[in-house]
Amino acid sequence: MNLKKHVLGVLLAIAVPICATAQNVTVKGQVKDDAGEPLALVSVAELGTTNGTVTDLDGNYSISVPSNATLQFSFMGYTTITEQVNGRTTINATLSEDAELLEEVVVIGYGVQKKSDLTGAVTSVRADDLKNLSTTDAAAALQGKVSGIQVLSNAAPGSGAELRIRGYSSNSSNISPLYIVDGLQVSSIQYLDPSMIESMEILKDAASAAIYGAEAGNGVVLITTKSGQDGKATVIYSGKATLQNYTRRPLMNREEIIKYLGLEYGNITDSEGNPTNKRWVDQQIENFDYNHPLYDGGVIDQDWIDAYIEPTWSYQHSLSVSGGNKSGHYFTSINYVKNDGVVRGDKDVYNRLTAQINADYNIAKWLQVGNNLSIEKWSTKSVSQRGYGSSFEQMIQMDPLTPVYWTTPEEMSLSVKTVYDALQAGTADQNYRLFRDENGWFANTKYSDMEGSPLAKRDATDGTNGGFNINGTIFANLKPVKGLTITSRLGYRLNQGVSHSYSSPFWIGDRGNQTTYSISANASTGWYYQWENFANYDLSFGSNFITAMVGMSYKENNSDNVSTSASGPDILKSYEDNFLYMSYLKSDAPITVSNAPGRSASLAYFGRLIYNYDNRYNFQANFRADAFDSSKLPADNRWGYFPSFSAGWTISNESFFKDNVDTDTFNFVKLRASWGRNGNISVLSGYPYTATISKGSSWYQYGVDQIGSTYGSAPGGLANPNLTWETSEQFDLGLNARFLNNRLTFDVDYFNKQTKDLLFSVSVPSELGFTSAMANGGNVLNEGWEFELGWRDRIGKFNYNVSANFSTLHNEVLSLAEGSAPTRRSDASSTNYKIQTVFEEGYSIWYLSGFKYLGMDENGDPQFEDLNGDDIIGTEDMQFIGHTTPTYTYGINVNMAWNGFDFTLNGTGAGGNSILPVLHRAGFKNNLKWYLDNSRTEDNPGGTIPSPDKIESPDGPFWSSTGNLFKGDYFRIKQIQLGYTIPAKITKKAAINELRIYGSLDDFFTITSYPGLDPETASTNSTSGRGLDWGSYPTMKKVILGVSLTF
Amino acid sequence: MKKILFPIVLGCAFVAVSCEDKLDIPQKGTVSTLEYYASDADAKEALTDMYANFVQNVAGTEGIDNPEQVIINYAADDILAAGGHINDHDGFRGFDEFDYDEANGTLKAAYDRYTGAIYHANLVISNFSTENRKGAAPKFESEYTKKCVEEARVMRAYLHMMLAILWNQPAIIDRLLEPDEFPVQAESQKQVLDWVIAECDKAINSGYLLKRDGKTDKDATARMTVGFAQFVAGKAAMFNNDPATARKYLEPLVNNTADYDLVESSEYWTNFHVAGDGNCEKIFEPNYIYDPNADFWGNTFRSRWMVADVFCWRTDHLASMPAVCPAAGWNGGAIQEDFAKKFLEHDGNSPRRRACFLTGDEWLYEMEWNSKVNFGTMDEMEADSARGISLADGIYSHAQYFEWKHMSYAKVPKILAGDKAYPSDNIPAVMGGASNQKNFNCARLAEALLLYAEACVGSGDAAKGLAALNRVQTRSGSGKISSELTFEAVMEEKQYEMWFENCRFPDIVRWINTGKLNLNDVVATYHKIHENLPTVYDKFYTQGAPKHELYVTYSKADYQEFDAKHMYLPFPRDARTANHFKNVLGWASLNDSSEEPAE
Repeated sequence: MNLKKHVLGVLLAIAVPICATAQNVTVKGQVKDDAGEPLALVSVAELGTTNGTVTDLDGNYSISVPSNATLQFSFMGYTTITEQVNGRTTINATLSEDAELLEEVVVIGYGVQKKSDLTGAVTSVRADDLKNLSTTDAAAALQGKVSGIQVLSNAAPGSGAELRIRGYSSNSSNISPLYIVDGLQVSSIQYLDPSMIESMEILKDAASAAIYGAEAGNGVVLITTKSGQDGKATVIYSGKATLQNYTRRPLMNREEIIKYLGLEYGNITDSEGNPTNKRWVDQQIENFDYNHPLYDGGVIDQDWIDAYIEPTWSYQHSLSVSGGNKSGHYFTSINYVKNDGVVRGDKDVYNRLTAQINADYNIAKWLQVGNNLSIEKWSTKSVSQRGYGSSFEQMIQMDPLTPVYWTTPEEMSLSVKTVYDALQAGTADQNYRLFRDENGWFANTKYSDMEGSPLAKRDATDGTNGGFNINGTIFANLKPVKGLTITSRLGYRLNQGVSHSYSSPFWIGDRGNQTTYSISANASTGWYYQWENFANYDLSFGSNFITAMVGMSYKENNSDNVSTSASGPDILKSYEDNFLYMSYLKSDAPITVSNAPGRSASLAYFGRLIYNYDNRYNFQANFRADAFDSSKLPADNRWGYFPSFSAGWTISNESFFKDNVDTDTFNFVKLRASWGRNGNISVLSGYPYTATISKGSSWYQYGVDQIGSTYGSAPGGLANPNLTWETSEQFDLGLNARFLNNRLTFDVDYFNKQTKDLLFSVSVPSELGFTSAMANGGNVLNEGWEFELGWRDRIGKFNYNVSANFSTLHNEVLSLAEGSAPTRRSDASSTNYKIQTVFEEGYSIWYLSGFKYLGMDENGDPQFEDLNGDDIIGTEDMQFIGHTTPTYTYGINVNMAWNGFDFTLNGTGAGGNSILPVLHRAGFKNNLKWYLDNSRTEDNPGGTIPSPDKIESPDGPFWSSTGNLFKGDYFRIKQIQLGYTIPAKITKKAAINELRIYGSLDDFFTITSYPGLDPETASTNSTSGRGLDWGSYPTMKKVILGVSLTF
Repeated sequence: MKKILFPIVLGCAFVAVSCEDKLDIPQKGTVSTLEYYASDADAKEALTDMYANFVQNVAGTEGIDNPEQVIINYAADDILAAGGHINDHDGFRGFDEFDYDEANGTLKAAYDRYTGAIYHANLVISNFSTENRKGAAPKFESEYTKKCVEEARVMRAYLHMMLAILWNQPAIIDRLLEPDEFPVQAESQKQVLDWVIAECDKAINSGYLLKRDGKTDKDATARMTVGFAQFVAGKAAMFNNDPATARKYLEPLVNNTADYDLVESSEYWTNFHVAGDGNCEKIFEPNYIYDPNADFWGNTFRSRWMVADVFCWRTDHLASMPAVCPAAGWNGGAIQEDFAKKFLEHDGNSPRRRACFLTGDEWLYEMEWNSKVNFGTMDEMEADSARGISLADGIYSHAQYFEWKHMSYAKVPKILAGDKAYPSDNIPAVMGGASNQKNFNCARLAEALLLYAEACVGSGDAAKGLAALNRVQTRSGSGKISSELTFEAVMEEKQYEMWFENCRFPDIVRWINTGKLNLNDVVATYHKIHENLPTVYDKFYTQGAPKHELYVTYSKADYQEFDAKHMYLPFPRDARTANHFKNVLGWASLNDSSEEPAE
């Protein structure tokens, strides 16, 4: 039997082409649009085969097909039509613009809904919108595309972008949206390459997100990965190479820093009136400057950005195969990313290999099964940034009079030379490393107490971080009776990560040194599963359409992480490379080990009712009941209930509208309103409501002469069994409209979101044993407008569309928890800056609190507002000086196509926030040239800031005042891309259906007045500490060359 | 059939997974409070926790300082806040220059640490005795738990004494407060101090309190003992203006020569360094030794991380790093110039004076610099560019005297140790040097002797008092021995002996209260100090002189005049608003303020 089948199959395979050739006809024709204009690049395909072509510039095509074949004509933005050949040799076709865009179906969580019926604020981003993007991070892909979303990014390789939907609702850092990929909850979408995504739905209002209850308080991002389409198998390869570099040069050079320091220290005289520090600057240069062989004329004038940063290449390759038929579909994709950051060397690298395997199969008319699977292998190495003593801070502060290299020991500073000599003589305390490369030792400044060269900081620690993640869902859809679909879906995540680090004694200078060896190895293992069962039932009678959904969800997350580390003056049996592992520790090395498996779980029931009457009136109600495990809430307080209601009125479907308004001009107008309640459970963890005995949490030594601690135990805190999650309530009012034959689209939303029950550390009398206890309270408002405007049209062969979005955000802390005080964080205290970020009633969250700079008096001394009138400028005079979060964001997207050429421009901007650099230090240290250019000096009497000698110390009020505050506003053209699709008649000869090549300039043009490295990445800390620029990894300019082939 | 069956199976599954008990996940690494405090082992852990809390908080670091050291010592008239320039170390200047207020963070930290430490003592007392809210019997009681309770009692008394000395009228927290309870402020300082004395008396007479077992019993200095209880009761009595009661408790202590004695004159310096931890002079010092097996931050806080930087000279203003310095020095505190001169005149080259500070010449030429001509000829050293104050800013708040009493020695200097070997104070292998393993000083015999001497002035025990004073004077090496017991002699000696040891400022307040000092004179002294703040320079660098020569210029501090209200601290704003405590003296004007707490 089986043999017969095989033989028959082979015969058929041979016979079919012969038969097809025998009956072929050549069909020609022209494809036009409604206006009679020829359409180029229309796909003309023989249905059910791989045979196809595209129309030429005049809309003409020619294809050889069997005389009984069916031709399919398709073109983006137009309706797809099919024509039976029936022996004809000429078939002309007319494609209409797709007036049914509004019939697009969007994912709304446990179901789908027609876009025209939406009653909530849901924005959908389609694969077409994500096409050709350079970013490899799904979250970053949304930048500038959608109103109401702020994308926080850091440019370091492997650093994932974070999203904020409709503002900042909490005093905690747990304000990321809920991410759901193919029904699976994930903590980050960094692993998803945008090319694998079919659609991203952003549920912005509470009514839409309410179906996710206590985890949806900060919005929901639903992602659907691609699936195969009916028809032939499609193979797509795309690859690109990216040259990236950082080209801004905002720091002072040799001449400038000498001038600045001369000003800073030139006017101080000793008791006898002699200028003292002028001599100091001169003397420092006299002492330490020398003819360096590696510099022109021997004059050291080192640009430390050049020293630390170099242009690098990054690569990405992607291959996908997809297809399907009535029985099922498949989509597989492999994607490889290697991003080598711009820091010299290979210490900032991100590698990622991902595979996506999606399939569905119809077992019976009433049963469909399928799976979505994502496998990711990643590794990353990074350098320190955005912090005191970090490599980027050192890059900014290192003076340009210090060379990158010492080529001989004689050039070394006394401190390093002493160590070098001791190493040579074998008398050093430790086996110190002196960092170097083939050009010489990395020089440290002799002029100040810097920790050291950024290159040495880069090399001080060797570490790797990596792992793999497997995310997937398997599902079954049952359709036992008409209108009813029951879905059972099992989602799972398996992850494993390993990190290693090793550092050995080194000597960079007096402040930059380490006397011990440190080694650590950490392994993390996690497994998560969710089982969700829900049923959707569609019912219609007359003009009434009802969809009801009920379901339940159980989720469980497990982790089992092991961390080991050891540190000490001599810990390993050998320090050769092949011994640098925990296995080779000496038996007496002090080891720290931690491991405690963790589990968390949640249970939910939910339901939704949608009612549509006559396509005019839409109502929707959601309800979810959520319960969380005892690590978050006590058993008697674990359930929460989250309702929402929304309604839409499609005015354009009213007869009075149709009768009185030109429906070609006004195609669609819908008003909608919604209200809902969500929670934010992520603020609770670790049994915060309990007070238990922390065993062995403290130690004391009863023996004065001998090491050996006795361990003590005490309650860990004050109990508050009433703790609960943050709750948001949001009201949304929206309008969707389409005009001029759907060419012009306009959407506007107003939202008002209030989040209460924030978690506060409330002050309690310290006599209770603790100074604070956790309590819920307070209220944060996020309110704003979102506008989206789009235009799409075609002029002859020229297709184009332009869209823009603009969002405003008013963020205000309306109240704090009773008994709590404004929370002040002195994040820059290690720099001695006075600046604080404050969470206080009446202001935006974590605003910048500093001094108000009033200008200078007649002596050039800075003046500040003295709020309490005590003639002393102190902490009591600090006040609001700036928002740390943007008050508006906007984006613009332009797409054009003509004769095979395509052009894309994406831009994004934000503003209304302020940035205060905390990079100034006293002494011989570099900084932004802006400070020199704007100082009031003899050469520059119009300077707006005091002469450097008036503001030497970083703990003086000036540096924490509006005098040192800059607008964070910027507009950045994220991408300008020009592509060309080689005519199919050429590529067909190489069996390529489509071949596109393109070049792109990403992040190349930025408009900003911010004088630091980069306004976009200057301050992306998620909570307090935003707005302070410590020296962040800046966004790189990128030149990208890419190719995409479809077979 | 199947298409009906599958949904039924699924429906059953709905029910099956809705087991809410899957949400009950026990917490790891903890024990319920309901089951704890029920054995000797639990009592030991609770007592250990009390000491751990004390050494890590009251005796530990907060940012770059120890709050107790700041709020008590910088207000004295013989110590100046110092640093790189006039705006440096504001936190210290606030107390030096009396411009702190109730929102001051260090003030709050000190208060919270004292009250927090009381809570940890009360965990022992209330859980192992009937001294709790309802007078309930403890879950467990034994001879051992009774010992623990008495130790905790003395600790609690000591902390209350410090609160009363500094804030005048704190609450007496005689048991564990419940979360819904507020502390009740005492009616007077006297009420608190009377209670402190009674508590110490109770512990001393309980028979359960540990006694030091000879002068070599170092471990007894790391915990509460009869000797320390006597010290606390005596000191509290002196602050209660009750010399007779003070004599009652201090006399057995100063006479207990079997267990306590002053160290040799040449060893005076060891009292402030690791070499002297647990020596015969110590009565109580919370113990700390770096323990690689203990948690990092515990080690960090106990080693008073960065306080070591603060108590080191301003090294980035110097031509090279002196060998004694453990890490980059920030020079947070300086010996006041007039006092240094007086001290030098009184003590000359006594080991005591040299343990406290160096003169300019000693500093330049007897100290080990990071120089190729270290200990070279005088000509070489005078022209040596690797010593002296190289930065033309000079060293602010500093005259030509260089204190190092509390410096964390990276290498014990020969000036003090001679050729004898002693351990260093810091732990460079762990914290890059900015650390100190020296036990935190709380009580040593010299203070007890001077308190006793003072208590004897004008009483029938004058001869005993003179003997106590003479013991201190003899040991100092100054050669100045009083032949008669006078208040002035004790006051003078105490300023030298106990300089920078939490004594001077509270004594000034006490002596104003008892009429021994005139408030206006004190105000004038502070005024003069703040009008003449020195900065020391080196002509070798500032003027290109051929050899080192230190010189001083003066400027005015940015200060508030000392006022009667500064005799006591205001309650931290949080405490005042939460507890409705009333401040005394000039701070009473805050009492009706309803402002929200700041932090």
